[in-house]
Amino acid sequence: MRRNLTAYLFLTPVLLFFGVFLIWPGITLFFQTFQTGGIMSPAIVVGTKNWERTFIDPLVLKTVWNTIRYCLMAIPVVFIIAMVLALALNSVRIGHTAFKTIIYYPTLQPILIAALMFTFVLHQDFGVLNIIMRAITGNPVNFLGNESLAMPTIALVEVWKGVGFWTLLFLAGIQNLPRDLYHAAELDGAGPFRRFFQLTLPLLKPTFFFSIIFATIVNLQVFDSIFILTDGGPFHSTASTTWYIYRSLFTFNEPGYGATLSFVLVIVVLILTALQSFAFRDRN
Amino acid sequence: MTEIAIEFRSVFKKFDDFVAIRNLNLLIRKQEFLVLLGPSGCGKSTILNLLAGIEDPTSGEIFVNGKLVNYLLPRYRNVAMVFQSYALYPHMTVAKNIEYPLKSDKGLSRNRDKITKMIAQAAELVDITDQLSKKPPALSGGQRQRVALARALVRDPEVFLMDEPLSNLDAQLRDTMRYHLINLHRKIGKATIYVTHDQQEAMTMADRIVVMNEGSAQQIGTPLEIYNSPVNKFVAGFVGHPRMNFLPGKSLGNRSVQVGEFKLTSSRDTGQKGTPLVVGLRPTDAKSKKGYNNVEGKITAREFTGTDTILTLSSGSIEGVRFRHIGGGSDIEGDTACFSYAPENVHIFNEDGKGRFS
Amino acid sequence: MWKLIGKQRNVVSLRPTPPVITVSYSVLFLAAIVSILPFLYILSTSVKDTQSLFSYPPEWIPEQLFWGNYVKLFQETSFLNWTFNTIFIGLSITILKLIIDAMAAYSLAKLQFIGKHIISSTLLMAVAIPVAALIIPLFFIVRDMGLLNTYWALILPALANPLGIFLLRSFIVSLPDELIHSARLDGASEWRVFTQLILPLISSGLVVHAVFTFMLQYTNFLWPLVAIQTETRQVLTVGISSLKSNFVVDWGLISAASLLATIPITILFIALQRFFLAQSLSSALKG
Repeated sequence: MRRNLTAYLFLTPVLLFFGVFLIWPGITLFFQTFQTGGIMSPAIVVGTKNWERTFIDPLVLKTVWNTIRYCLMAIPVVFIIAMVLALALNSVRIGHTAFKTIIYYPTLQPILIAALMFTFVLHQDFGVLNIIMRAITGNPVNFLGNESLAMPTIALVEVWKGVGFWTLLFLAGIQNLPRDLYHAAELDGAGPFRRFFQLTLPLLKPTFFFSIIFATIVNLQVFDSIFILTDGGPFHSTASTTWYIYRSLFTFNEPGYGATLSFVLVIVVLILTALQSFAFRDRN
Repeated sequence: MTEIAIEFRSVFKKFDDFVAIRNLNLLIRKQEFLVLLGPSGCGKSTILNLLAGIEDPTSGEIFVNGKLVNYLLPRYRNVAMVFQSYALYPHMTVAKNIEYPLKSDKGLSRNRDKITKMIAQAAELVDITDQLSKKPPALSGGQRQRVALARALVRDPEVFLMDEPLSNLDAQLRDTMRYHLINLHRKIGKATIYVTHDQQEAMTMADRIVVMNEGSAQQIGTPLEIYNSPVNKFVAGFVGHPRMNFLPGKSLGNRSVQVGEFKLTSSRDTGQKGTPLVVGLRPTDAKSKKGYNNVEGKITAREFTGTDTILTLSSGSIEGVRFRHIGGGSDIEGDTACFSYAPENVHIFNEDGKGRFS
Repeated sequence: MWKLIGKQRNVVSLRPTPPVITVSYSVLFLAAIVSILPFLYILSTSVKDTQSLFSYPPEWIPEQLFWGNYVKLFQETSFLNWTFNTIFIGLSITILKLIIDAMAAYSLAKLQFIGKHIISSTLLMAVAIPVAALIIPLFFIVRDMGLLNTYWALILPALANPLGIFLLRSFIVSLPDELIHSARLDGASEWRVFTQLILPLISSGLVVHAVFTFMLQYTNFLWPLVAIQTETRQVLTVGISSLKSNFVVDWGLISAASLLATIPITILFIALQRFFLAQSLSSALKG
């Protein structure tokens, strides 16, 4: 019993903060979806009105689809580039640490700063990419002002910033693989490609599993780069669910509706991570 | 009557469905060196953990110096333990490691001189005085072992617990440390419980041995008792090297048994005529000439160990029985050899192996 | 066991063939250029005046350095305030979180108690909660506590993130039990076991945890944007984003601010590079 008590005492501070700033907001969120009222005005219980509205509001579906679209653009690209870089890093010795450091460096930056820096890459007048475009085609491209280009461009920011983190993670995974297996495979005459597809990829499966789930949870909340680069435009083509949540609280002063949107986001995250877990488990 | 240091009274320990300790009753005298002997997983280390307070017994009582300690936290029990892995604090110097048990004594911690003296004394006892400023990772296995001992010795505990303390050392060092530990124990004279799976270690060090198997104490006794009168097949097989031969037989009544084509007489009871039983013959008890109780067969294998030769014999009805022949010997495989046994060396066990025949 | 923590294994597992090495270096050079070029470009932009920024063809390295953007940044904006706020809040969170997470991690890793499984799986599931979904209720909770526009609004909610507990737990789990048993038998209380044994032995884990906690706070944007309205109490990310909301965007100013904003984290990175790059970061994910 006394041992139990010590264990609980050690857990108390964490559980306290956990309860007040995670569990309580979670419960409050649920009740807020049945309420209306502004930041200043008192809350009124309105039943399922907010929920009914989410089903009619076309922007809800659009933001959810935009968010998923963003994940589908960003995550696979980040993972493939990171895997290639991890393999490259794994096979060089001279300059290994220097490359690792430089490739990791963008990851340190807040996504907001990364997005701001990208304006200097994309800007129609002085963006590096557009200077190159002008030199080649004579015409600059309005990356962020174009409905079909805006979202891929937002995803590009995440690719630039995110690659370093995943490169290092995959590299660590590769280096922790049992070396004997590779020596055995080499003796069996397996070339680098066969070794990669028959050994490295299957053995890294647990790493991929956690990485994909983690990346999905983080990227489904995309907000910072959208807020600073497009503010959801043009024509809501980059409006993410989190962007809509933020706007319903501060621009539209509808926290109840925002709470309902938040609940939608939670559901989307849960469904997608559950699907991923299922897909990974199924193949085992 | 000698004073009792530790008592286990019908102690059980269960981990979920697994019974680690089954009804343990054990008295340990002050100044006694008690060895818990058994194969891995037999519960011997659990006994130490129960005594140290690392685990709580599921039922039963444990007394130290007559005081019930079941619910006492480890730090209030005043027992010192030497672990198989030594469990030295890797970030502290040897001196700090030895000092650590003294830190909880508030009165002592103000007396720096006394602490320094106590550390020096403990270090002296195990001969590591010149290593005091090093950290454990820089020490050899033997040195770490001695630091662990010094840390146990420094605060004068009621009981010493040693969990296979020598098993990580090489064979030669193990021999010296064994001798060293016994001397240390004589000097200090505190009850010591020593866990090992090495029967030789147990035989040479113990005042008394507790042979454990599957959570139960099989036999408690002096090394001589354990060796000469094992209570069951398990104890008989576990103690003694090479392992005792077990041969199926039938009682002929009147303290004699039929084993295959051989008739053997024992000094032990063999029960009613016709009862199936198991006869135990130690290879080392064999005399290499015809005598009273003879076993004969063809030599199928021959292992020369230096001082003696272990011969494996097979005959029509028994197979793979091993005997010790002192010296090199000139027999080769295929020859016939004959060994004889004194009646007191013919052990009789129940057929199910669970007990001595009675 | 504890000796292995933080150590790197051999980098190259099999000797790669020359073509593999050539391709690898080409790929890495390309990646390095893409990684570093934007930084160099905003460096060049930040020392140009607005007119030469829009000139075409561009002046890659300005002949005349223009410091006006930096002067304006320090004189006309609260940039120094934002920097101080970011570092102060980041450090406060890091220190507090290190203590409470290590305590919880020790409890979950090495102590036995009823409800352990429920508590640890609840904490683990909480990792999957999208924090962005909680900003609205959190806004009202923090408002009702009277903490809006204070440092506390940023510090306290950050302490509820459970990820670090699992990172530290994986470090503590790898310590041998015997070490802890030994300390308890040597008369140490649980608190002494924790402070004198566990904490020193997982020091590299603590640094990794500290580095990641600080970085997470440094990059935080949405919650400070919601919880802090007073301009001088803002953190760097939100402060710099506010520079863009002016009707006429001063790109020179923004480039100077963006560049300077990278400096504190860069210093930390250089000082603690080993821990940023540590392989153990993967254990943060695996729990």
